[in-house]
Amino acid sequence: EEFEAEVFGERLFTYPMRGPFCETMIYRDTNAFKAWWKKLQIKYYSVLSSDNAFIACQYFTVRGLRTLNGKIVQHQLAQYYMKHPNKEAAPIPSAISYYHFMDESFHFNSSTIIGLDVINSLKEPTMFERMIANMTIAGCQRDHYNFSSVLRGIFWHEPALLRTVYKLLRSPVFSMSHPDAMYMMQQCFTKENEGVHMSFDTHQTALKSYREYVSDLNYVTKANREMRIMGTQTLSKHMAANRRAFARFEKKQMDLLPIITGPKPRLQLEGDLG
Amino acid sequence: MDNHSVFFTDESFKAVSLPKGANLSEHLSVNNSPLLFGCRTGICGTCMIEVSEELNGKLDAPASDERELLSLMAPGNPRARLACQIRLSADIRVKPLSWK
Repeated sequence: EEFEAEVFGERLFTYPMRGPFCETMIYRDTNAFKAWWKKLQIKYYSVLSSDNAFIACQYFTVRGLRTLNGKIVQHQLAQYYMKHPNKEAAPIPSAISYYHFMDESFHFNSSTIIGLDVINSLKEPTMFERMIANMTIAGCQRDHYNFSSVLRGIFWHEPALLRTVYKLLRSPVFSMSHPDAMYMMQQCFTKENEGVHMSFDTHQTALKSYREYVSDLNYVTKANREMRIMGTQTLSKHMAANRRAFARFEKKQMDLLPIITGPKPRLQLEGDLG
Repeated sequence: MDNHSVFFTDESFKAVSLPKGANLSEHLSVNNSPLLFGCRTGICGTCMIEVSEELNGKLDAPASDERELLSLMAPGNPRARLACQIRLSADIRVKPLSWK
């Protein structure tokens, strides 16, 4: 928070502390009704799991899925510190990445023990318990349906990030003009590029990993075992959604700003024919 | 640089050639192997495998932490290893081993 205040003069990626019933995904495909409904579901789930051993254990299965995805990215981020010849001299952010990676190892381990092992010591789940458990796995898939090249491996809904990225590019850190910032965003988010492909590959790796993780759980439905919801995401759907969102965002920016009659964007990317 | 190969009992996955000393968790994933990696720090057992063959060298013996976990998850199986703890020093043939 201090960093963002100093560098940007406002919050960009941080947010005030939230209550226990809020969604963890900060840039998501949502609206007021969806957010309200999700909050209600989370509250109901909390009440259920506090008095039901199966549902409480199953919570950790979902936690394991979410952590499984995180480990893919954290392992890569931790490499610099892990392989640094003089760890005392390594940059502190790289050390933080490493200790975060180690911390998540414990999270994943506890999730796996409770969600995949302890749960087998309980009696067979009732139909209601199976339904709730499968609903939460489906919900996890919806949360991880999208992918973003802003932070590879964090499955944000990219259209929800446009305003934040615009602010970032226009901040004193990058000092881009409005036309340059819009051009950069257009190239990054509406054109297929290496970043988009790498992010999609990470998404697909997570998808396959999730399938493997729940493969032995008897209560999981076939649809969830196959991660069908998450599996319907494609590169072309992602690009189409981004292009629609960027067109809306571009129009909104034009409506907010005075008419810009300046020169064409001075920023020319390599290989771009203008 | 010397390379070693990781072969899989499940022959639908092609062998993967890696530099000597490579950490398997940095090069293998669900995309190129039947292995799922979890914590990648040797405490969860998700990546437990059975090494059925070692050729052109020998793997280092598991460290005490790995041995402790394997004694719980694969008691009495001398071929059991945690893939994330292996630094490749031989050609090996592996298959996933479930602790569940």
